Amino acid sequence: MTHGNSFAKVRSIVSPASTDVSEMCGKNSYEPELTIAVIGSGPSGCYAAAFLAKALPRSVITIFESLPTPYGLVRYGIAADHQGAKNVTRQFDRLFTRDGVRFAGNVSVGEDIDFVKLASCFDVVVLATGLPHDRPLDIPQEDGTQVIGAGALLRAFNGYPMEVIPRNSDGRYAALGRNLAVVGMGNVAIDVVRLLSKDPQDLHGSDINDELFEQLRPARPSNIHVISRSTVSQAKFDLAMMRELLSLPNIDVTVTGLDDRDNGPAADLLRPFTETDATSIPSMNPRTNVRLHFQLVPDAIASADDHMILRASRQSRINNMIEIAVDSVVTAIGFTNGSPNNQCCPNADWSGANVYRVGWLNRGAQGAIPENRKDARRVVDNIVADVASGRLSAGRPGFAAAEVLLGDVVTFTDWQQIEAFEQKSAPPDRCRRKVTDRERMLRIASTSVITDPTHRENAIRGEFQAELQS
Amino acid sequence: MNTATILFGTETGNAEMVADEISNTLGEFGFTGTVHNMEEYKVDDLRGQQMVVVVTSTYGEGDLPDTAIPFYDALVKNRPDLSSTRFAAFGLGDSSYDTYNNGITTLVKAVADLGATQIGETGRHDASSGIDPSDTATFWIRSTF
Repeated sequence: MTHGNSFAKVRSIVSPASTDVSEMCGKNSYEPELTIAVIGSGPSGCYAAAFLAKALPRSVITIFESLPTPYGLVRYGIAADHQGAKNVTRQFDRLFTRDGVRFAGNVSVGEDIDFVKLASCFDVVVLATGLPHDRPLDIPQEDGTQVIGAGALLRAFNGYPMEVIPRNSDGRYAALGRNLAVVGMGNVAIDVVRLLSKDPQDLHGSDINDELFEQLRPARPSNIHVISRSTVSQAKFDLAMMRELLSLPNIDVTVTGLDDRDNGPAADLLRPFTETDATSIPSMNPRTNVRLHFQLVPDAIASADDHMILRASRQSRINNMIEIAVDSVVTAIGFTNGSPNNQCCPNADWSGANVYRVGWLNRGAQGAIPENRKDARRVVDNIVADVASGRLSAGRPGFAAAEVLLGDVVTFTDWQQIEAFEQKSAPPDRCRRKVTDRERMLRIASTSVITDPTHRENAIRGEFQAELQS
Repeated sequence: MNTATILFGTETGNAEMVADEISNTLGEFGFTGTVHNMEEYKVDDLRGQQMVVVVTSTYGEGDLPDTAIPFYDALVKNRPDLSSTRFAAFGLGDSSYDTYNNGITTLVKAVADLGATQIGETGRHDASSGIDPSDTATFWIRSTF
């Protein structure tokens, strides 16, 4: 970690400009040296920085991140068994290793530094903080019922370094149970169902938090009810995601709530799984029954003796209430900005003539990586146009002025140290073992400033021993 | 120096990164590469090009990315004569899906139909391999050219 300014701006433009934004910029005879802060190193922040670096090659860009680790939802949101989708980090890495963008990790804007103060140091500020909280399910829920947000669950499986799911008094996580309900049927819901339906050996090549997975899900559930208000044709999952789920070896899928009127590719895909009397007989083998319910609206969650009752009604019929006995309910119905009291969530004060918003924070929790990349492109086109029109001008000092107000900043080199440690300590069949404790991340990061190789080796060895004992 | 036109279609930017890398690596073989987004490239400009490299990912149900579809449609409609063009092709996909690398297959067929001669095999990167797509592309260039 560093306070010193060892930053050398090296930006090589590898190939001739090929994008709109670069062409726009090429037409400018003069491009000011803008100082740019991007708040949030998730995909939207990184894409915004990438387009900015290409369009305004003289600008000096810093990406601030509240965690010591970069990439936000790519690291902690995309499911641990979808490593291919996490591949975008390879291009984001180049931002920092080749394109001269600075990573300033472990800086929580709003907490470690006042937003207005930070914004006053930069010519342009791009907010890319996403929508970090699960949208709550707005139905009556009795005390003692266990309802978990899908975003929190995926973070936990992804080794998020802060507690997102409550632990028992003994420090262990309570098992989710044998009978589960997942409310929602978008891609996030499908991620949850897929992960919960896999055995640990099916997760080879992933970086799932095995210890937590084993505690939360010691065995595959007997039943997972997946509940969608909408019809199959309106459901939000991608076909490829559903096909991947249907292909799992250990599950039996049944579908309810399909109408003859339903048509389209999703209906065609799922119609063969329509529940019949024959398929509703509970199987005796240790397989997981995944029941996809369409046009079913959750009404209330009540607590029973040792379980919960999810009450729901069929939208298409009158007085057709059903009760599903479950041990846990996972909600996957979208994301929000969370409490207005949270000082790290952008509020109305986080604005100004030089402040832009990008990604989910800008457009709502819709769309995956490609859609948010397009949004980053649109926002950067606006910034470039504002530079060209003279509405934005250079002159503010940038990171150096902010740095003196900050504590320990994790640099990209520090992060590479953490990443190397995670890869080295990967258990068999896993691509890495994430460090799940923020303080340990900072300790590992700080070993990168130890220049004596023997001393550094010892420090790392100490962390490995701690790893083995933990 | 010979020139090479590298065209990419992308959804996540990975194919753009690979196109940049290919352009760099082609320098080793005496080519000066220019990289273009298919979205912004006029199909008629392909006429007379001696060396073209197409790079694309696969999206949705085995489709071409949004940014490559207008390019593909124009190829099929305008049918530029590419009989004097040589081309190479590299795809990005994820073998966990059954539509693995359909995008590049679609494009290779369209370009070959216009008379262009393909050099080497179509390169393919598998996202679930954990290998950096740029490394796969560099290896492919060196074994193709």
